[in-house]
Amino acid sequence: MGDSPVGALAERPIEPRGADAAERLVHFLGEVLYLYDTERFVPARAGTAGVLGEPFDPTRHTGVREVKAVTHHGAEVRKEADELVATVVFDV
Amino acid sequence: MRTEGLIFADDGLMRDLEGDQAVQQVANVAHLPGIVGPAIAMPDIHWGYGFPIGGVAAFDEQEGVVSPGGVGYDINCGVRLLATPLAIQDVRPRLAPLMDALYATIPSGVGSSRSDVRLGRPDLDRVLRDGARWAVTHEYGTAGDLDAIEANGALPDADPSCVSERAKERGKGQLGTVGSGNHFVEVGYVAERFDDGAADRLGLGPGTVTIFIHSGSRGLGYQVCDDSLDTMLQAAAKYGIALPDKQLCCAPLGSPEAKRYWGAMNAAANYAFANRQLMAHYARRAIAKIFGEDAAGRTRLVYDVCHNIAKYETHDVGGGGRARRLCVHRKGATRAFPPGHPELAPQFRDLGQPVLIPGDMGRYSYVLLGTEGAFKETFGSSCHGAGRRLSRHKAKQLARTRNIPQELEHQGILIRAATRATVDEEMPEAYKDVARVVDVVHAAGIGKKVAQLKPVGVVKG
Repeated sequence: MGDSPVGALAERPIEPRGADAAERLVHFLGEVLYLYDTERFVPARAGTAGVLGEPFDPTRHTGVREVKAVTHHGAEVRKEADELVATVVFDV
Repeated sequence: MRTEGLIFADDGLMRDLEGDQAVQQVANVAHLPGIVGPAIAMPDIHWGYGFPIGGVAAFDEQEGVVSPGGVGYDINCGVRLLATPLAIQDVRPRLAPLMDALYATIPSGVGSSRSDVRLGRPDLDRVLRDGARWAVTHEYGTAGDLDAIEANGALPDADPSCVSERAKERGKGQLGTVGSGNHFVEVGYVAERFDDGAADRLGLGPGTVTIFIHSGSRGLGYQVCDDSLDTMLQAAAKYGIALPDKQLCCAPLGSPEAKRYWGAMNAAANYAFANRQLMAHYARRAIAKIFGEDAAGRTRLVYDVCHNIAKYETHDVGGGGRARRLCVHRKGATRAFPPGHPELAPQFRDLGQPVLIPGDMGRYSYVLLGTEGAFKETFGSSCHGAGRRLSRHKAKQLARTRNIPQELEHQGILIRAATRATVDEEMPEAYKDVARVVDVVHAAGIGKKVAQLKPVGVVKG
């Protein structure tokens, strides 16, 4: 959505799935993509049990780039100092 | 490795490939069981998910495998070319309204869908089963179009029941839309001809105005691929297939896992054929609006090819005269059957199969014909396009201080795009020079140049 602000107004549950953190992340993001593609639910950020966001509103949201798939290519979650850093390749 | 890798390139393209993971990916493919002949890559080779883009790999039907990574996420991403009866000098004065009409009639960009094509679940299943034939039955185009589509626009192994509900949900609202990224609808003209006779036969007279459509199976195909990956990973473990890269996950041909993917993949491919058939219909409507019904009625389909697909085909391996049925994967590669091949419709049988090679939006595209050389060396395959040379990030950086649409307009190319970001990322310099790719193909005898097309208008998502 570029710079257009997205409110964390509702939560959609996402069941965690995957053998490790990278797989779980790819799965999570794939579910987020599916929610956008089918319900036009725009993600704002991760919630405690799923994804927080709101329905697409053409008066406030501008779709900048279409994500076609969340790939497993080079997917990685690693610790750097106090932070977790993730790498995911999206097919656009 | 079970076999060699074979990359078609010139010295410059090989130098560009130094250190590129695409070369390692060719080597990885060579590890897969039942591979017949070398792991092949075309001169537009680029790294991909598992298999390289621009890759061709054929597998024995008993010992070999099918791999979703060898087909690609965008199942039957492909290209279609229309030839209008119009000449460029007649179109230029009305180019802006033509581009506006195309932009209005063919939805593009993020979240695009058509309000005039509403598919219930039974209709969607028919699209998945019948592909372009479904579209023609519903008066999108004519029956004559089907002869000029690879596999007549409908793959018989499609099984809609193998396509998940999630994939159908993603795809049901997207039929007849272009998508975004590197997909486009492009108006151009025949700028140069290398084989006058063949060009005339294909309706590509000097200065003839053409319409290129590049699109695939949209969200449905992506979901089919995604759905298959976990299954294929488990299948590889189950059947003891060692994978140098998880993304080469696969199952033995004939296994239940392979059959399920095969049915779904062919169904998604049919969706893409129907998608391009619809878009061609709407392109003809745009022609009608600006240039009249007669011009629209005489706009013919030159050809429609897949460049992300796997097919069962018969090939003579090693020149021994013994026909073998192989599963040929082409990811970012185009079928290029030679003159005389029985699968070609009568109008192409003596010519060979048209091969459509889109370039970037600033330079040129090409039309080739398939050759005996391709049939002998690359399982009847050729390149598919230019291949990226700059990342999207780098392209955006370069575009920051420039106005790409304006630069193109100064060159006489009108852009109609849903977002500026896509145009910047798709700038001509982000791509290799497709002329070099096509020259390698021509020199290697795996495709024969017929015509060069130059762009004058592009619709992008």
